[in-house]
Amino acid sequence: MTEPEPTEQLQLPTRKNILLSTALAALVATVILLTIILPVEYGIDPTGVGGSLGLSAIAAAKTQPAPAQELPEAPQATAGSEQFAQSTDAPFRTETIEIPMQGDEELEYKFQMSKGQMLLYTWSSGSTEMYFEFHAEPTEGEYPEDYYMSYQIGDGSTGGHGTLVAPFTGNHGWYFLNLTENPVTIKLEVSGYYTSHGRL
Amino acid sequence: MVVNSNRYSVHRCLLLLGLLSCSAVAFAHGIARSDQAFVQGNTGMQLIPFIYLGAKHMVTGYDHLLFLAGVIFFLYRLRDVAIYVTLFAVGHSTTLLTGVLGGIYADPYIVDAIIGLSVVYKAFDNLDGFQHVFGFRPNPRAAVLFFGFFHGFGLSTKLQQFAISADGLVANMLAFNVGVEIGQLLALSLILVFFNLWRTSGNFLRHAWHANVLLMTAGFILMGYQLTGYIVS
Repeated sequence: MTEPEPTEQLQLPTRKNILLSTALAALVATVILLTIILPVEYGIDPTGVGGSLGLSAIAAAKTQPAPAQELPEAPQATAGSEQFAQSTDAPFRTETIEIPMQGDEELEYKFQMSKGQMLLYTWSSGSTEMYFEFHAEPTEGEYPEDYYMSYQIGDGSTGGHGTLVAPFTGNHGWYFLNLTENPVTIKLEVSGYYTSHGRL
Repeated sequence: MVVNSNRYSVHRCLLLLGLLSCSAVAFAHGIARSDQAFVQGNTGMQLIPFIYLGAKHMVTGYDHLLFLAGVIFFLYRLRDVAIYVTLFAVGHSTTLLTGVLGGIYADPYIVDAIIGLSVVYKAFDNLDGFQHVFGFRPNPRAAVLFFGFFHGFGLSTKLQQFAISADGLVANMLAFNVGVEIGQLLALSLILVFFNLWRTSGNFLRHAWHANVLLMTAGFILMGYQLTGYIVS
């Protein structure tokens, strides 16, 4: 078994030509990136070429909401409507939870939720910067060991609000890390369908 | 109960790769938006759909295809093609499966930048750059296996970005992997047909140098694109 031998096929495989070609490739790539790709993809236009070619408009359009496409079919009331509306056994709960933390401390605060149940939340740490990961670990079903699902990560955050529909039955919540040396109390307001909650 | 699950994944990533920053952020080239809805809404075993998604991902994944084209550029014997493609498949299947099962999250921008680097690497190798510039050529088979690991990591990370139901996870993931291999063979057939036409046209050797410089340019563009994405995300 012989290895393929590129040397025979190439025309000018000298050290100088290889280095020149590599430099040329890097140069052309840089020019294309700066004038076309970065303006289109990220709206970064250091040369102004992307703007003058009208390419930056593509990037600008990306941040706008997409125009409404075809209307979704009207859901049939007879079948599948339970995926839009569901009843629960217990009324929803609303709580304001205060979580005191020392400087540099880390902790997890979780809510036990069944698959498909909903949570609305707002949290704030005032002006104290936090690292957080909004995530969940399943407690039912066949999952690999140590499986968890990451919803959202924030670095240097001081708060957030949003909603969650539990993708599986388990413990859903936040890992918080106080990035400062100062103690802080996180104020967490939640409404929704959960059975229990607490620090882990 | 895991007190700090974030740290768990970081440790795993560091163990495996050392250089990847680990977090789950926006993906670069992933599964098409309309397909996401299926993946997320799906529960239970759905073999054929996942095979289709895997194949589609590979056939439309230009970064994987560029690397594959670079790998087989100077392979004339079908047996060599089979060996290299098998090594690539072993590499990316390994990390696809372990990545999903281990829940390893690697930053997609970094993974895709390394995939771009793999294209640059192979093009440089095709120019015989390692021999002439550095005085030695790393084993090309080992290199294909090595970069195959990163391509698989890209697949795994993208599959994990969607809330895959745990119900039937392993079967669906294996189906996705089978689809990836089918897609790879389909794409490979087309690439080989094209290369054979090119080689028999008599222009192949004349164009080979420029083709690999172009390939390298494309690799550099992928790298710059993804690294910028990493910085601005």
